[in-house]
Amino acid sequence: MNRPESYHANTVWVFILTLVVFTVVSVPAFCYEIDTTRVREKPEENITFGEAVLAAPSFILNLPFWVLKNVSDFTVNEIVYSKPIQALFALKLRPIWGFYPTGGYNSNAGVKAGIVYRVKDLLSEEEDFKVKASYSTHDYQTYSLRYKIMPQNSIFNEVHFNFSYRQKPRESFYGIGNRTSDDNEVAFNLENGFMGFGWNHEISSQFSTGVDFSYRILNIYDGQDPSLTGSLDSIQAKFDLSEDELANARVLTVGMNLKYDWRDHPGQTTSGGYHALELSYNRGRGQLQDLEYFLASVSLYQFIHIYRQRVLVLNFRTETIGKTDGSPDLPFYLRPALGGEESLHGYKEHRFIDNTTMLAAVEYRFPLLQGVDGLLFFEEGRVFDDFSKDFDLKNWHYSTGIGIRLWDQEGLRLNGYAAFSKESPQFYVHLSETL
Amino acid sequence: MKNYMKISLLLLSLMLMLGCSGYKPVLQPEGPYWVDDDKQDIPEPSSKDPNLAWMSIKRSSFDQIEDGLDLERNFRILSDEREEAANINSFDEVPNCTWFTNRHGFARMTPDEIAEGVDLTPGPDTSGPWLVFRPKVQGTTPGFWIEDSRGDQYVIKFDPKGYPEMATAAAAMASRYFHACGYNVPQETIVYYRPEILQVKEGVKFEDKAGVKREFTQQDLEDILKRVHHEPDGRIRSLASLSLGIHGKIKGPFSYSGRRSDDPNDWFDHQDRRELRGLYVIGSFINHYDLKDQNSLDIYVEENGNKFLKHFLIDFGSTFGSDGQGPKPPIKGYANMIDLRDAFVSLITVGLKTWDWRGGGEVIYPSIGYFEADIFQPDKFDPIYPNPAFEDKTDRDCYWGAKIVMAFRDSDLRALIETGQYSNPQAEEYLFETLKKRRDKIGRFWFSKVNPLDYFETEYAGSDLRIRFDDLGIKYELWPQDAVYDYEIRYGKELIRKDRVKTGEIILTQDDLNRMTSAFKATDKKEDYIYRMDIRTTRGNGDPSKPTRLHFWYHHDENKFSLVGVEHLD
Repeated sequence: MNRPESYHANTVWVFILTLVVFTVVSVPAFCYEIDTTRVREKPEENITFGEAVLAAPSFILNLPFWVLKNVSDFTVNEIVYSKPIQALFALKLRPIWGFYPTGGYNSNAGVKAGIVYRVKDLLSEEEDFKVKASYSTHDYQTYSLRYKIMPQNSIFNEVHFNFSYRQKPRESFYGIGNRTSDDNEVAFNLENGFMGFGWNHEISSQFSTGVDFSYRILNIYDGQDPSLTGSLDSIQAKFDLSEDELANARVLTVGMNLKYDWRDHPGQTTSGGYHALELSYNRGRGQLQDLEYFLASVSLYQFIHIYRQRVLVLNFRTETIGKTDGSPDLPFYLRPALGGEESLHGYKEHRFIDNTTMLAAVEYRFPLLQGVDGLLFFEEGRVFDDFSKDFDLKNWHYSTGIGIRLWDQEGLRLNGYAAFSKESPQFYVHLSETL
Repeated sequence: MKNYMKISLLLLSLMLMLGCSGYKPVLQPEGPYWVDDDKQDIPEPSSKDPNLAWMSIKRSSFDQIEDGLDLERNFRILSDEREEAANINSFDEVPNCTWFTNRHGFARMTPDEIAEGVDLTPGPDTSGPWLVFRPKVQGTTPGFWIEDSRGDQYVIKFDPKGYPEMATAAAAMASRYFHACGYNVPQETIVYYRPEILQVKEGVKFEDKAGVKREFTQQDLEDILKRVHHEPDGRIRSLASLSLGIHGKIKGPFSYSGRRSDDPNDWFDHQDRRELRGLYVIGSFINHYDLKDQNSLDIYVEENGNKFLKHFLIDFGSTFGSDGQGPKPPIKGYANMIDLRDAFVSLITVGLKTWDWRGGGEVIYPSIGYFEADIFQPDKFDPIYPNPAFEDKTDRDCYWGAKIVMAFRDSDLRALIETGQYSNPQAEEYLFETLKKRRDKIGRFWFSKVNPLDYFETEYAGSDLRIRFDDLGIKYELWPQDAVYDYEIRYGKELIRKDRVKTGEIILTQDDLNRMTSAFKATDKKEDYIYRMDIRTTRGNGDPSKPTRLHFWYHHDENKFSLVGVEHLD
């Protein structure tokens, strides 16, 4: 049967219209309707046999957390309102104003505890005044006073005065030179009085210079570590030291420094660098009044951003002293040293002492959390008696390890290192600003 | 022999652990419950004020260790048998309760209704005066509490300097979004006003920056206003958040875990509530990074003579591209503040494993902040710290959340964006495109975890039973329309019918229904009984999906079937 064309057209239209109506009407309708008469009562809690059985071990496992949760809730709430503790919880350790406790530990000093009083605006609004007193279980003592003024509209961007007295009865010494052994460790007692003042001037946002004057009183006594040789006579004989190398010293110093700092974010740098040059002229007084030497140190840091906050830090440091003709030997405790928290982490503090030190280090930093970085490092360092004659690439001491850095937008808050070398491993945790 | 004993004991323990499922909705002939009776009169509960720092440490570390030691939970995770939400009804939905009211994801709201949001007042009366009775001077973004000429109290918040419109728009849009989703939220209104209408109430004390408690003066108010953005005509744009005190007495935030011991209406552990678990997906859509206990509030309200707690989400300043005090840093929404899991991966790979967000992010429009859709992954969203409800979520919870997100169609998104009152149309368009991309990513991801057949309807057409449903993947244009649906009906273990359809309609003829009833009659049982229909979807040349399971109740006396349960098996 032949149908007129309009029939086909009508069929299409009917189909489209049906589709449209179906879509328009049915899509919104495809939702469940809420029957408000269908009200659920409080359900009974049926604990299955399995849950009952598991409840016991679960309770036992959860007990410490229950205690921690409930006790800590109370404790934190109670003490958090004390400002230093509040600052500690917020990881905001600087700057704290007023009185606050300080403390620490290292194997020589033992447990240290002390108190700090820090105040702004002592005389004007541009000051930072800090007094600190601490004592340790091994009789280490520190008393220090620092007064810093940062005048505006002056060529001196910072003027500072420092006074301190320190007593360190268990300092370690291993002999002078690059080939010393940690088996030969002895202890000595160093008393150090310091007074100084200086100023800094910012030439530009990246370039600064400063001048410092100081007078130091250094007295050496028998060490007080009962497990180590401590008499100065024994030390002199054991290491074949001259009288001058074990003498007390009074040293007048005038120094200057130049710093070029183009890090992108000091404290948490991802690119840029930091170069520092320090030079000082030192003149002995009293027993070592003929002592006369120069000290120069260079510190170069380069931060290379690899990708996505992975940063490679290259560091080269050297420190050297040069005596003038006729000057007596320098006391060993005034000479440059490697080892400890600042350099060659895998060795104890001041492990290697001589006239020149040199250190090359590479550190790889990678993000763990927001504000927390992990790091791997490798360092090599060496000391030299006469750098111009002795320099070689042999017998460098290496140190390697891992670490962690906590930082926020204002800078670094905490860093920790576990460092390994041929000698015993060293661990450091430090709350401070570092590079 | 001893070994056999040990193995038997181990198996028994495993069976006990896996055999004990949590609350499961009971199938009933009348169908699902749609309202929870949790508005019973209760004595006034105590106020809570958890410490933010402590909660952060607890959620990030102690809770993580505790979870690690939870044997049952870990066996469930290993065997992919996580406990489903406890408060769902037999349709896999959340009944209306003091936490949640089914709105846009359930029965579509109009764009105007979405844009209206909570509408208790018309917003503060900008003809003035506004009496400032509590200042907030700490922090980078200041604010204050005001009472307007009508006597209504509002918290006034500002945009951070350099980012006009960002935080106020985010909060205004987010509050409407969460309201449309079904949550209880405060009323948030964007207002423009002249600073001259502000007056300091006499005798208001505050702690200044130096920590000294003293009287709040007009000069202090002016100092605050100096720190905020002013329009070229001198007016100030703010977000006015109606004080939740209008509802009742504020009782502090709710916790995303456990229950309130002083609230008899608190039936389910909060981490087991579907609406809190599903908030993971709902929050991820607008990057609500700040989903923490402190951004919630329990309010002791009175309705119909009963006093009970109602549960609110608050503080939406850190949604979309805003972080409240500035644009959102790229990490936010992509890792916890202290993300021990990511840290562990970084540690063992010494930083070789990286995440896309570490590539940094670009703020294209200051009024939007940092908000993107390209590196967004729906299952990788992380709030400020691990949230117990999110930690326990299942694919079904996320499907439920995604269903609500997908209900926001383009016109709804445009209506939401309009409530942000952006001055730059390009910024609006950017936000719209970003939201669209994020929405569709959410739909594609979570809809693929279950079989997204939903909104089932049954009706008798003559003697045939018609079952209609939406394939949400097709409805929302996420996948091509080449899907086929294989279904099988079982009575107990007995297979009664198996067939395939190509549309969202299954017709059971009189013959099919007779076969079903005869299967029942053969058992000679007197009571009603339940039939099960599993529907699997095959898209293109892909594998069949997991089933969506329907439960039909056979009403013996009426000789009728009704749909009483829907499960999206994962």
